[in-house]
Amino acid sequence: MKVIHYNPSSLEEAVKIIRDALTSKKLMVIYGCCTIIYEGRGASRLTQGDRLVIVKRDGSVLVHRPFGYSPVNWQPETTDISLSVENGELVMKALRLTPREILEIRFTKIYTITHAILDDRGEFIEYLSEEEIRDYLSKNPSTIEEGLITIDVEKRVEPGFIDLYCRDRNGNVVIIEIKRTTASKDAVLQLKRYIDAVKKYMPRERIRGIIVAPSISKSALELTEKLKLEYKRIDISQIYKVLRSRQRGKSLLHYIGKAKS
Amino acid sequence: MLKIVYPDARTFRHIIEALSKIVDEALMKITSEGVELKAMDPAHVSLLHLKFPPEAFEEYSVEGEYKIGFNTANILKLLKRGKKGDRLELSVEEDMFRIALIGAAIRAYKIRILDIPEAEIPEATLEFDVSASIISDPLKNALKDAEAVGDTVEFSAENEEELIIRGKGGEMETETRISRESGALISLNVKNAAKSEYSLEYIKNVIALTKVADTVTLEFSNNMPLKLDFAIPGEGRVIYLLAPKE
Repeated sequence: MKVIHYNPSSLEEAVKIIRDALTSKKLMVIYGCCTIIYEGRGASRLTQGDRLVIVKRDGSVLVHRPFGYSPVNWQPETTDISLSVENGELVMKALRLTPREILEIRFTKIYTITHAILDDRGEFIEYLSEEEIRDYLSKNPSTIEEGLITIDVEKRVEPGFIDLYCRDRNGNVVIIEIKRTTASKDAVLQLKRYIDAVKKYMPRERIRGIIVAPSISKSALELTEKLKLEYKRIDISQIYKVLRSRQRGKSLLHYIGKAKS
Repeated sequence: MLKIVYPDARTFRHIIEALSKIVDEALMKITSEGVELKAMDPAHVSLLHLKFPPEAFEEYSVEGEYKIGFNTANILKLLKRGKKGDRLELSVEEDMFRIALIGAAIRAYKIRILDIPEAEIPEATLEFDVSASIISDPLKNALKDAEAVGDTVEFSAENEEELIIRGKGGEMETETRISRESGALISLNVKNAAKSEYSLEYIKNVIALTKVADTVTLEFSNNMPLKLDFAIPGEGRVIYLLAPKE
């Protein structure tokens, strides 16, 4: 990470600093006094005041007032950002072509500009990662189906790794493919490949395949039915809740004796 | 055969409302001994146990044992259709569960009975240091106050004079004092002074029950579960057990 702060002594100097950040696609934060004119799908004017303007490296522009969590004006993507000094004002025009929208920020004063090069390759995980879900389901296979027993986790077969390798209450082999988000056709085909791989070793066994996911696309569901596979919906927020409260270690059963369930 | 009639459909509605916040599906057992239902939330933090003896009903003819599995949200939706003064008739027709709201007209709903495995929930044999009987309305307000300031509620009693309910958040606190003088305390037994905290995320699920019970018996010990026993007018009880926070 690299951060540089500038305190420009003139608007002309500020133009140079801002242009430099735009060309090198740095994240930029500007503190300044400005008025804002927006025209596009709608039209608005914001009269003079001190504000925080953020230009992200993909060119998205956000204008924040000193209160409220959401920006007062913004441009989600820009085709061009132009800069000029007119009548003692630094004019920054962020243009978007489709739909045509112009966000014009007119600075009368610029207090500080910050340039930052940030390294962010993190993944945004809602509730739980796929590994955490697999771990929970391997220990609690009845969440998927009553009577299911986990035999192996991450079982290696020719095309890859089977998430969960189980047996159902009738003794059938059950191959489970887990998805954290909406299951696609690819997931279904992947499951089918695993089943075919296992079938080579066990040609006589009945092998079931279940896609476990919070939702499934329509085409994937049709394919599931066509390939005689199954889909089981799971509620990840519910699993998250269970795990979270277990971490806190406050099960009622601890106090009133263990249930066999 | 099964046919039972409960005098107030709204009581059941509030009970199912609390139940629906705890579990998605539940199993109701109906025998000649009465109606019973036990439900534990998925994280095993709380338990709702309702018991209605035959005397609680206007009409009670039950032969054999019925286990009726149902989706709590579905039943709640139907019970919400009830009007003030409606009676509730429950019966079974083959694999269907029939719910009738009896008022100026008889409105009947039929729902397929779900096959739900009976969870083995152990009988709770807990002893408590503090046992308080109070009017339920102040409890409701104390819990709602607590909800406004944070995520934790603390019950404490140092002597047999008053019960204190505190809501705790990071920045704010609220306190409700219930004593004989204030008029809301019916009885208070304290073997040992006790104080215990519970998660509002769970306890708020049973606020709906304060609408059906005039009084509630509240029991706890230091860092032990909380027991709320709601006495339903006529006969019948709903017991709620909640594990302590930490």
